[in-house]
Amino acid sequence: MSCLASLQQQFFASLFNGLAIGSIYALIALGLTMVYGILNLINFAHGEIFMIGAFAALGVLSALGVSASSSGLGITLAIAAAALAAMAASGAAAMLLEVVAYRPLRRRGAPRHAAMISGLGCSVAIQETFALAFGRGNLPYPSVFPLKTLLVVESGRITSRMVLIMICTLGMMILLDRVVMHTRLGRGIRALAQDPVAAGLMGVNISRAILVTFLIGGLCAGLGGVLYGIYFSKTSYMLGFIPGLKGLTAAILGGVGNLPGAVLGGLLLGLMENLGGACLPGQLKDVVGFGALLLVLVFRPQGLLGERLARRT
Amino acid sequence: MYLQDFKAMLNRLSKGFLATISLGALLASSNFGFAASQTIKIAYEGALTGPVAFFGIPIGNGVQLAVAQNQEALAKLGIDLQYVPADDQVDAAQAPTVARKVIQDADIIGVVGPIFGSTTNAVGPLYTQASVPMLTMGTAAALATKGWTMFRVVPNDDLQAAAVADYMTKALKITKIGVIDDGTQYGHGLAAAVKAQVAKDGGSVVVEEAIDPNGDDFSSTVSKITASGAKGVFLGASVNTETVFNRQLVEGGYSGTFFAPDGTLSPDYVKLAGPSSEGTYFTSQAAPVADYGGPKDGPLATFFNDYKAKFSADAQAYSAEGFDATSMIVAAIKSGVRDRAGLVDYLRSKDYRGLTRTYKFQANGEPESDTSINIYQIKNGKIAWLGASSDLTK
Repeated sequence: MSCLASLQQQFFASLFNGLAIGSIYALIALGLTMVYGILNLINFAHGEIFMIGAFAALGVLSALGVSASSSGLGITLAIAAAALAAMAASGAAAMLLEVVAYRPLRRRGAPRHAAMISGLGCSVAIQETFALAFGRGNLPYPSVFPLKTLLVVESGRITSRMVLIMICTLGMMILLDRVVMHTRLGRGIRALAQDPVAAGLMGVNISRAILVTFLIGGLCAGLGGVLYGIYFSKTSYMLGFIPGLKGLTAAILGGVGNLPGAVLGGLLLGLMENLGGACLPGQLKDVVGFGALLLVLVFRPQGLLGERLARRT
Repeated sequence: MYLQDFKAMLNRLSKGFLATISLGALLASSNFGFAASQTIKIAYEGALTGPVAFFGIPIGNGVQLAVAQNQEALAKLGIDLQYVPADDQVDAAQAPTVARKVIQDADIIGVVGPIFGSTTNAVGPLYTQASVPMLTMGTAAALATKGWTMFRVVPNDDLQAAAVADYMTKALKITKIGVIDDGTQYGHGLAAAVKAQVAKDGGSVVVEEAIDPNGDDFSSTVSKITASGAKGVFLGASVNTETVFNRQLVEGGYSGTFFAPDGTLSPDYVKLAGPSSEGTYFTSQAAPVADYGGPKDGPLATFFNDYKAKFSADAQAYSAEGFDATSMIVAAIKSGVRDRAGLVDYLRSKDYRGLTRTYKFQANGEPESDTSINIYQIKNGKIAWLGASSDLTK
């Protein structure tokens, strides 16, 4: 079948699948882009923060012992508890990461690539710790969240899980926007992202603002982790590796340091992967995503919506 | 160079010297009327730790059980039989190091394993050079073309793939089939052979694709399958990818037949793939264990009971084959074989009636007879044996 014919046939399926997975990429990209915006640092352990969220949620779901036959209210409460646990665990882990892996290096004036290596090391250490504790196989999520098809448009189906992912992502973004744009804390972070020296002189507590940035990024990643776990019904010690890379791609695609850009980048990446995967052989779908990134970087190196980075002196 | 020559000469001299001494010792001991006592070891190379340990440990247990059951009988012949575990984690990068260790231990007469095609491929030249026979469960068809001291105790993947295609086209009368693989040597080899046999059987392959074994999102492949109208799908992959894909395929609205290969046949499958695994078919070279509806009496049932008594767990796929391979080595020792080269000759010429099949090898190391493949299906959340493919596709 030709590429276009197959694309036409599977357009709606790819559209819905792409938006769902793209929302999760966006949640990961938010944390990466915020940290990069204020520290000019790629947090290579961000994928592991995401993975920790997926594990925490699985722990809560198993402990509560809910199953598909539980009452609707029971399932809703259990998923809410799992999501809160995931966000708390990922948020705490992200702050710990900043305190252990990045802050001491910054205090001693280490070059930025040293911090990058430190982050990579933490990434491997966290992965291997989880591999030792939980094994190297997949851990299945209990099938709690009912899989219902809500709407069928030609080849595409919108399922209850996709709706859950999109609602949660949208809610998180609105909340994030409120915090960053309309609170004192958010103003501090934005000031830091524009000019750290001036922000410090104006009385912004820089260490605290950085810590809060990591916390917010961790909360988003944790939410992404539990959604990813529910969507694919699994977690594993390597869960964060590929989504972490995709989140980074999404952040760069949209413009590093740019929050709406991260969301746009995530959704676009999800869509391009799935539309490309429909058109080309499935193993080439990552080629489509990364190829698009390459093109964007050639013609618009600052990303689609433009970089917003701290001024460095 | 000179130094090396000198070392080699020294080495030869010392060996000759040692041989003289040991010959003297042997003569001396026989003068006093003692039977010469000899230690013979059988190694098992497979995964005892790592991601595939769930698959490798039950085979090693089968080997260990066969050794334990024969120690007494061989002690009467003056032989101290021992089991040596060689854990390669089914990692082709680690396997050569493990194999060299096995080769260095001169008491090891033969190896049961390696258990995967990839690891067999990695260590084949090493064992062959040291004339160590390997009784492998690696099923990649190409392994038999290399002239190694390899004896495959199970039918190869070409036969397994043919059974998949035959069952779908002949028993289930499916003509539109999707063939997917994970791009690995194992998965891709199987998928290519399934495609070939489907064409031979008159079916058509409507979707063929490779997926990323490290990925989680297979939705574009699933959309292609549902759009193509395929009624049967085979995925050649390892258990983690297979179960994630199985779940997405069924959740994506596919209601046809799904086939998984032997490497994924384990009770974990149902746990990992969840309710979507209901109705999934498997092919496996392995004989059915008790849990899957294997025999309730006879030698195989006795083996299952002995296994459970010793390891407090049920035997799994290939446990009995591991036991059989070890028992064949023991039979060779009982017939007077005492060294590696002798064992290679024995395996090349003799046959052995085991618990699961009769073992007789062709010159290239492939099994000569009893090449049936078993078909399994998940029914009510449990793996059930349907029968041998040769009977089911008549």
